[in-house]
Amino acid sequence: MRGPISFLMLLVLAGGAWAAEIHPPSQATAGVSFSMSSSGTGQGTFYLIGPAHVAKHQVSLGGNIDVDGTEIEHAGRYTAILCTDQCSATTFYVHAAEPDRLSLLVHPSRVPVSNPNAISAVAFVWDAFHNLEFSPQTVKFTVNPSEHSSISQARTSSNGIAWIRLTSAAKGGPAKIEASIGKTSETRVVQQVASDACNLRIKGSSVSHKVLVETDPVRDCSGNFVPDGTVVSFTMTDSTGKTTVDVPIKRGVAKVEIPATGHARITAASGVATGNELDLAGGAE
Amino acid sequence: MIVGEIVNEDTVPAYVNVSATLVGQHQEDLSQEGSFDKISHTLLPKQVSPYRIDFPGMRLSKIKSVRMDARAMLVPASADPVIEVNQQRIETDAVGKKVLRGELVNQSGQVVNISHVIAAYYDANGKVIWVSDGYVDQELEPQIPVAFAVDLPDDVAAKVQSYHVVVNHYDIHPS
Repeated sequence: MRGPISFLMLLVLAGGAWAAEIHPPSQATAGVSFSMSSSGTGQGTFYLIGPAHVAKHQVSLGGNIDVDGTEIEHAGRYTAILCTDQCSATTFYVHAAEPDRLSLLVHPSRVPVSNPNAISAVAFVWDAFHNLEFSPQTVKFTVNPSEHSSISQARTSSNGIAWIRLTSAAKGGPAKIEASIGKTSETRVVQQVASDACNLRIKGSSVSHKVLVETDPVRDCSGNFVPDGTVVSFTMTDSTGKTTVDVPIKRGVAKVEIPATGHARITAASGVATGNELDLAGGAE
Repeated sequence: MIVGEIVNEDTVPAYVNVSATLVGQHQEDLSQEGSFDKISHTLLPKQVSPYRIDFPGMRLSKIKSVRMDARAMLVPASADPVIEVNQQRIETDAVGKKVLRGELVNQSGQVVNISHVIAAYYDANGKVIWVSDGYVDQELEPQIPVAFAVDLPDDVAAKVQSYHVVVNHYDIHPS
């Protein structure tokens, strides 16, 4: 007997009260107020449950239920629940609003000159409520070198991200990299520094029992001065053995005095760059 | 033991540290060690330092691969002192052991309290085959040569074609 009685009770409950219904729009925009229609009569309780916000209102059934823009600032899936003596629920999706902000990541902060695809710039597109803008947007990347005219390229964002790879300029100095969308823009500065030394030349002279060796002004292959503090390694071989000394560049040149006995052969290197060989007559053996 | 060289390719000084993890036959980490003092940690731009990482008690047959980790941090560093390494030569000492000898000359005007010699040895192919080091038990006064000697295993000495000496320094009152 238990089965038929339970079935009957369910029928009574179902027939006694129909749950009021709500009809949200198929999609809403973050921060923009909207209304959803409801069915039924009397008063009900409306719940709105979002990714980062929950709201509860007393509403009149049968009319429009207003949802304020401040209640849907976070994009994502929302659940709207309308309760009288029973509840009905429905879901809708809130999309990001218009692009309003950019986050720009540029790497590295220092880069050698004339280095292909060495700079990576990645822009994240956000709306005013910090929702990632998933719809494709055109982001303009602009490079402003210190002494040349700017260069721009546009990229379409995918899943909120637009990126570009850039080649560093031949001349050292700061380069401003800007990403812009509409009226908003972000700028980062990359320092373009001299690359490896190029055509490292040394010259020297014998003074008493010493040889004085110095480099010509050390530049990279694009003509930029290699920064002071960069090490130039001098190696001298004479009759007493080998002498090495790591000398930092000061005011564009590296120079050193090395004691020498007899004939001395001197070479220099900086990183992977090697210089010319120098043969000098040192002091008496 | 792992030996090699590290170069600061940046345009600013760096504090570097090299460590390695030995990976076993079943991809398990066997041991992790750092180069400790067998490296010149502060490198000026384009400066090269040898390093050696010791794994005491580890057998080569247990190791499948090695994971290297080189970390660098920007630091302020002085270009001084400049220390010259003169009269470098490999000799046999009084007890028949091979040693690398030479003289250090402090070319700057300041006293170097502690100097540390690190030498990398290369075979005929230019590959680093050994790194040895030693502290000099005497301060370096300007322009006064101070002798140093670092040991070289006999089996390595036979294969050495060239070597590179760097001098690390520690000062009580760093500039």
